[in-house]
Amino acid sequence: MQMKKFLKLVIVFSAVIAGFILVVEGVSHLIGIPKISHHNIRGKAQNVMPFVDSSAVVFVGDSRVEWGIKPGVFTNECKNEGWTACNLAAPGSNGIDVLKKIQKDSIVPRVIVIGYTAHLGRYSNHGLDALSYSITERWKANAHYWYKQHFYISDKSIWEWVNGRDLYFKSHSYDSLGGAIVYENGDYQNRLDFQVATYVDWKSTFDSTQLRKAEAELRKLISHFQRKGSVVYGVQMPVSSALWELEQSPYYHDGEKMNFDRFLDYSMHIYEQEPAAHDSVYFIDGSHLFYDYQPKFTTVLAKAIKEDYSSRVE
Amino acid sequence: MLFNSIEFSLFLPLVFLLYWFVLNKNLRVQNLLIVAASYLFYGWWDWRFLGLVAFSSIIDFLVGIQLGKAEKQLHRRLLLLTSVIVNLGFLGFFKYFNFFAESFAEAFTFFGSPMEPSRLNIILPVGISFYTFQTLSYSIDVYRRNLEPTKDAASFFAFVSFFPQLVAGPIERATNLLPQFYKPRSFDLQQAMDGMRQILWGLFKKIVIADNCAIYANKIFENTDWYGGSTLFMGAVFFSFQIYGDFSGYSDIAIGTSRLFGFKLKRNFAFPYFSRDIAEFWRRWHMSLSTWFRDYVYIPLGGSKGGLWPKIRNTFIIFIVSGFWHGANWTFMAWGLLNALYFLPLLLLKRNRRFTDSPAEGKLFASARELMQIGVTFFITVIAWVFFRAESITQALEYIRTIFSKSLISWPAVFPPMVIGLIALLIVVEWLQRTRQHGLDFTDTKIPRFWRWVIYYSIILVIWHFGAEQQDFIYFQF
Repeated sequence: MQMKKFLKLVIVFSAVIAGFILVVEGVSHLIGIPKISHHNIRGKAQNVMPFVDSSAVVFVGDSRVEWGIKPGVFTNECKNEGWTACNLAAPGSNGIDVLKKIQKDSIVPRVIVIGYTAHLGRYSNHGLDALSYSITERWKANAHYWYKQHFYISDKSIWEWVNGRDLYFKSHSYDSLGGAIVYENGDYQNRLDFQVATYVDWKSTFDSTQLRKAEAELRKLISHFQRKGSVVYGVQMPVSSALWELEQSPYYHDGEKMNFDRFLDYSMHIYEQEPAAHDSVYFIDGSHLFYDYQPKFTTVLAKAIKEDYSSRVE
Repeated sequence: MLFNSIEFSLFLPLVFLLYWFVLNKNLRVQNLLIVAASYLFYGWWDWRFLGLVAFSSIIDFLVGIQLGKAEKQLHRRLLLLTSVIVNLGFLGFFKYFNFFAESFAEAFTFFGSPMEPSRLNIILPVGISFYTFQTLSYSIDVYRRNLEPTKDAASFFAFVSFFPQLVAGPIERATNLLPQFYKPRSFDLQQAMDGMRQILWGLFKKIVIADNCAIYANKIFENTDWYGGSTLFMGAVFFSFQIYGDFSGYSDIAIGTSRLFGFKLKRNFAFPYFSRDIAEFWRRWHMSLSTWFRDYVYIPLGGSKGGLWPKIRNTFIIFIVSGFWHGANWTFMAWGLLNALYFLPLLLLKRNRRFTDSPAEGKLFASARELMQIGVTFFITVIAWVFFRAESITQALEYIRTIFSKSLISWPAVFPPMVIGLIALLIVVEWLQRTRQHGLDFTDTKIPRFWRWVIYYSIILVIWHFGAEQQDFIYFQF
């Protein structure tokens, strides 16, 4: 009798919650409330990591690398070499977790390309080295992403709508090699303002100790892969002049001082003979390359790496 | 498996239905279900360490049986020693090996013989400090003849691995929990309803208070060089509420879950931040550990008998060992030592049992004197937490030095109104409920059901809206 009453109360209590969820979700879908777009970083790692082997060119770094490097374009550019490019960069990542994971699996990629910025010390990574990688985990990560992308209550998209906040992205997913596929709402000026405000804040709280700490950790990993036979490049992704100014002062990007086999500095020019990078024409929000320029930049980078790599092999 | 996870929200009802509807006819099978469910719960985190739980259980089960047969004192001592060595040996190896190796090497380096410590890549099994103490209490109680040894393996294994409190307590005594496995359990509506309320309050403390405070505590503790005294003080306050919300929230969920299965666990927290002195604080904070140390370490050492110096010595030993129990770092020992120093004046003045009632007993508001006492106790507790949270003693000292600098008199650079409002909500609710078992204890209340349900739904909305990103429970690492 007591159990019956308990179950009845639990069912009624839960039914109210379930009803509330159904109504809110239903209405949100019906009237088409804009949905927060999520990054399937864990799913991407689960999908891409199996491609990382001794013939792979692995890209790690933050969202600039994640957006700017098209692994399909790079792979195509290097088809004679038989290289497969895997883009494992992610927003707010310095790549340390990815490199640790590859080290743990005793894999020695042919080439590793590390996106270098002065914000390396600020990034906290996504714990990709602590994940277990399996078909089940891949399924779980992708299912979780699907759930986050489609349900309004879990990520509080409704509040964004109620508060009238703009959502920049419609969706953010990845191709099989980790290239970002992004659909967005435009609003570039707002995004540039947001980026500038972020970098102004970062500049005021810049901590060189954190940067040195991250660099020291990266150095160790770079040395490990170099000893095993990988060639490791550092790349400075291009950014707009507004952000470049903020990043230059009060600290300096000293990627040259890192132990990369070669540091490819594209901070001043994005590709070949085109104008200087410090022009917002080339950037969505000052920080990330426009869609047209992503494959172009990838091609330039692929050529530079191929050329340098072949000179080393010879 | 975390309590605040999707997995647990499926696991709990499934085990509940099997327990009460499918396997309710046979007590032994019901206990075996608890063992299986507990091993699944623990193995979800890392199945490799299930062997440790099982091995500890086997050893103590066999030691108990042999203690029941042994008459000679030497034989009994050897049996107890076996249990102590196995349990503390596991704990020592997994938790303290690297600490001792490094401290040993540092000592050699200090005396002029540089030495490279041999470090092992040891993973700390979740909850090892909790279940080893729990199973050890059984052997000690049987040795002391306070408890009859059990021959019921299913009950004993269920006692050691009981999933609600396996990984972060409360640390149960065999004398309290084990006999509950011998008797058929009957479903009690009031217990189950209050258990559900306790779970809800625990989730609020964990998801809303602890996880939100963690964001700011981490931000401040990881960037101490950037901030002045007032911000660092705020960081320590956020950590104080983080650790309280995290650990007492876990205990509430554990106790509430146990009640759904017809078990009564020990109380672990009794609104400790309303304590009027540090002695009262330690009677209200992590009570299952404090009483464990009191009964199995402090009293065997002589307790408060034998004059002032032995009493002081024993008190210091208890606090320092308790600090060391929390982790293999000098910071935890410093935290224990500082608390012992706080406690010392009360001990010397024989004023350590001044406050055994509830603050502002029978009144809504505390008197100015009580408020002052609560404020001072909270303040010194916050300062002690700095050692607990800091990476090293040097960092803790520097942190405290900055707090007490001129920069304390400035507006904090980190002052999130939302989190401060949520902390205020916690304080108000717990103050109003301070004479009860937990924040949502409505047993014998006059509040009509409609309003109680409004409160429950409001808390669910608060959890949904203000809940921060899921973080592991801090006490899993201990």
